[in-house]
This record gives sequence, structure tokens and C-alpha cells, in this order.
Amino acid sequence: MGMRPVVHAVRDGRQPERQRSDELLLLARSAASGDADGITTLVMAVGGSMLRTVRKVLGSSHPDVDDVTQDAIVAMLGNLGSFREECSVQHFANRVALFTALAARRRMRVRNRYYGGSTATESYIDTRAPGPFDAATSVRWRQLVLEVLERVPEPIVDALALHFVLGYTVEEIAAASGVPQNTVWSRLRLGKKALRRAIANDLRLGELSGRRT
Amino acid sequence: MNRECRGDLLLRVRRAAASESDRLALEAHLSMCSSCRMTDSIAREFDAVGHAEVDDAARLARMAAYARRKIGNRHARFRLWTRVRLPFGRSGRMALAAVLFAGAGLAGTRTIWKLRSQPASDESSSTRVVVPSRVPTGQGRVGARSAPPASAIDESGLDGAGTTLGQSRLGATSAPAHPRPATEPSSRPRGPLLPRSKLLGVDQLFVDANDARRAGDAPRAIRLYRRLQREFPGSPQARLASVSLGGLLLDSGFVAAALAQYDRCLASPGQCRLGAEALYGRARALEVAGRDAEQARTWQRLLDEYPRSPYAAHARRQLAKLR
Repeated sequence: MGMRPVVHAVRDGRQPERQRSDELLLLARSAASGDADGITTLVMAVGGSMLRTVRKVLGSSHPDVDDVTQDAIVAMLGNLGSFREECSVQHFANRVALFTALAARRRMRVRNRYYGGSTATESYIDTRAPGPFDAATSVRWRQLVLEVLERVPEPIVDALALHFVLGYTVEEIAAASGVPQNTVWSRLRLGKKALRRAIANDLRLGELSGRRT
Repeated sequence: MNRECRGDLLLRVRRAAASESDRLALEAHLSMCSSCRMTDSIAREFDAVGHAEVDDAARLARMAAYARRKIGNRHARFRLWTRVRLPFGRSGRMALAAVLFAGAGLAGTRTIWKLRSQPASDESSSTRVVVPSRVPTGQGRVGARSAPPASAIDESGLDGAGTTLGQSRLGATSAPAHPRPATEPSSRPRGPLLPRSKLLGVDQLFVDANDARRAGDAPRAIRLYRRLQREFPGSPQARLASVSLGGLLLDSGFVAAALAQYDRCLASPGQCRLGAEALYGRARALEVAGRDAEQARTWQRLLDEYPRSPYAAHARRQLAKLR
């Protein structure tokens, strides 16, 4: 997600192909032009959802959640200039947060592998789970999906992550990624196939699920 | 996943926009469709951790203020750049650009040439120092770079005691302590250049970070402390750094990250010499976060463990206030 000088999102006189009733669009244009109030209002409007997205990827009690969300917000504001307005501003922001969090998770894993740091994402379990087995199973499910996301090709990651983590429909994924719906269907099919294989081969998840049931 | 799947029902339920009949239809569908069952299980796990928290609004306000400052600065720079008017025409601008490119090219070439030619001139008196074994063993290519250029070591490789920086504490096991740096025959083939950051030892990094903190350059200090923790995670300096870093993060508004730093220091009792400071910082961070019960426990712990510390009076006052 490259940082560019912010330019005006409104391309002169050119309207997006599909008109969407997005109340945040004007706000996004205002924020893209550098208006301080626009930036504040936009962050307050979409930031909560971005924060929750980051928590979904890193875990709710991970100490870097705030920092990663901060990075995502700056990246989102910096990239409003390239926002094509084909999906809603909220979806755009969530997508930026999701991929920023996935990239941060990847960096942490690499760092932990070489330097043995103490911020392993897997250790931050959901303390609100009803019991320790539920918590462990929940962590393992999420970990498994995120591991599959690191293995499969990038276009499939896009579709799979938006579908599972953010709960987007095929139409919404197609609009956010700028690809036809049929392509999204195929990518989801391939992604689910990889996921099913990973679940079937995961002994730890099988053991945990067995104990839970 | 086939298109006849009632995936739309699943999403409606997930977004809390489903009616009772939708729920019943979904239940019936899930009993037949394994693909949707899997999606449902995974979605539940992700949604369970993606909840809002009480202080999210305060966090977002802080983030918005930071983003406004950062994006505002970028806009100011962009505007300044577009307003620059050069006092000559197009050909003049082209000539200026050509001169700038040529200058940059020459400077780059000169630097590379200087770096490459240096060992030849220093061959007679070169002092090779074994770089502290910080480079992880898993990195084959990087791990092979054990011999840095003598010139770089001359600048930053020695401390007052005559040992190599970073070796004094961290690398003490890998190399014996000599009054003078370990020398190698100059005929040994020279390895590729190490990045400068690897040449800076843990001591130098710690000193630089402290200097930046004292000079009020918080972003640089945070960067350096983080690098220290990343590159020398087991060193005593890394444990000490977590207290300073916690303070800086707390002052910058990153309460959760600051708490993590203090906890990191407190997690190794007996090894962190700044235990009282870490407890003081932790209590301050909890105060900012509004977690009063934990704050009171931390002040009490400070009083119990360090009754004669300079923070004891403050801790008593805070405890009285909380009660």
C-alpha cells in the first residue's frame, strides 16, 4: 500500500460507472483534499469498523492492534486519491485495514521466527470465550484460515479474506476488487478447496474439536 | 461453493439483518450444505474476536488527531512543491535536471568507489573485528557476512574499554575479552558489506536511543528502542529500553503498546533493574486507560515491592484518591 501525495479523488466531471448511495463519499472526497475536519469525521465514521477488522486478524488483546489500526488509517487516507468509488467507502476502508493487518501479521511471524520475539499472534487468545477449549479451538480456527491465506495466490487471498473475515457478498467482493462476479465465484471455490484440505489435515484442530464436542 | 447455496442467508444472519424465517431457512440449509457449514463456523470464530471495546471512541479520536497531523503535513509539503516557480524556461529546467542527475550519479559513483578502494589502502594496518553474532543462524546468506569493512568498524566499532561494540555484553560468549580488538590477517578475503545497522552494537544503539529521547525526538527514540529490542531481544539493554519505550509510547498516546512494554520489563523479575519505574509507568498507563482497579493494584504492588522508592509517596496519594 504505497504512500503517495494525496490528490483529489474527484476526477474532473467523471462519474463512477455505478451510482451508489454512499453517504461517506462526500466526506471521503473532502478528506482526500486534506480538509482536517473531513479527515477527523471520516476516521470517526469508519475507524471503528477498521479497528474491529484488525482485531479479527491479530486477536482482540494483541498489543499492536492500536498501532496497526493507526497505520491502516493513514494508509486509507493516503490512498483515497486512488479510490475508484466502485465500492462503498466503508468497504474500501475495511479492505485497507484487512490487508494492513495481514501484512503486519506476516511481518510479526517472520520477526518471531528469526528473533524469537514475545508478540506471537497466536498467543493472544480471546478471553471472552466460554472455556479454555473453546478459546483454544477458536484460536486454531482463525490461525488455520490465516495460514491458508498466506499460502494461496494473492487473488484468492483477496476473495477468501473478504468473504471469511469481513463477510462480504460475492457482489461486494467483485466491486471492491474490480473483477467480474464469476471470477470471484471461482476464486472462492478454489480458496474453500484449499481451506477444506487444510482443515482435514490439521490434527491439532481435530483434537481440539473432538474434545470440545 | 455452488451458486444455489444460500450464502446470502448466511451473510444476512452474520450482519444481524435476518428475520426469523431466514434463520429457520438457514438452519435447514446448513444441515445439508457442508460448504456453508464451514463458512458459518469460520465466520463465527472471526466475529467473536472482532468486537468493539469501551474505550474505542477515545482511541479513534487519538488516531484521527494523528492522521490529521500526518496527512496535513503531507499536503503542506505537496502544496509547497507545486508552488515552486523556477526563474527560467523549459530548456533551463531540463538543463537543471540534467545537472542534478549528473551530480547525483557522480556522488554515488564516488561513494561506491571510495568504499571499494578502502581495504586496499587500509590493508597494511587493517584491524578486523568479528561482528557480534547477532545475525540469526537461520539466515544463510546474511549469516555468512562475518567480516565487516575495517573502516566502518573504526568509526563505530570500539568503545572505551577497547572491546567491540555489541560484543561487550551480548557477544561476550562468542569472543574472548582482549585489551585490544581481535585481529585477523589482512590477506583474508573481504566479505560483502554488512548494513550499517548490523555494525552498530547494542551499546551504541542504546546510547543513540537515549540521546534521541533526551533531545525530545520521540519518533526517532521509539524507532531506535524498537530496533534494539528486535535485534538484541535477550540483552539487558532491551529490558531497560522497555521502560523508556513505554514512557515514550504512553506520551504519544499508545496506551496498550506502553502497557505491553512495561509488562515485558516486569515479566522478568530480578533481571529488570528498573522495576519501580516500570510499575510507576504501568500505573500511569492504566490511569490513562481508565482501568482503576488494576491501577490501584499496581500502585499497591509498587508500595509493597519498593517502599523506599521515590515514587512511594505518589503511589500513596494515588491510592488514597482511588479509595
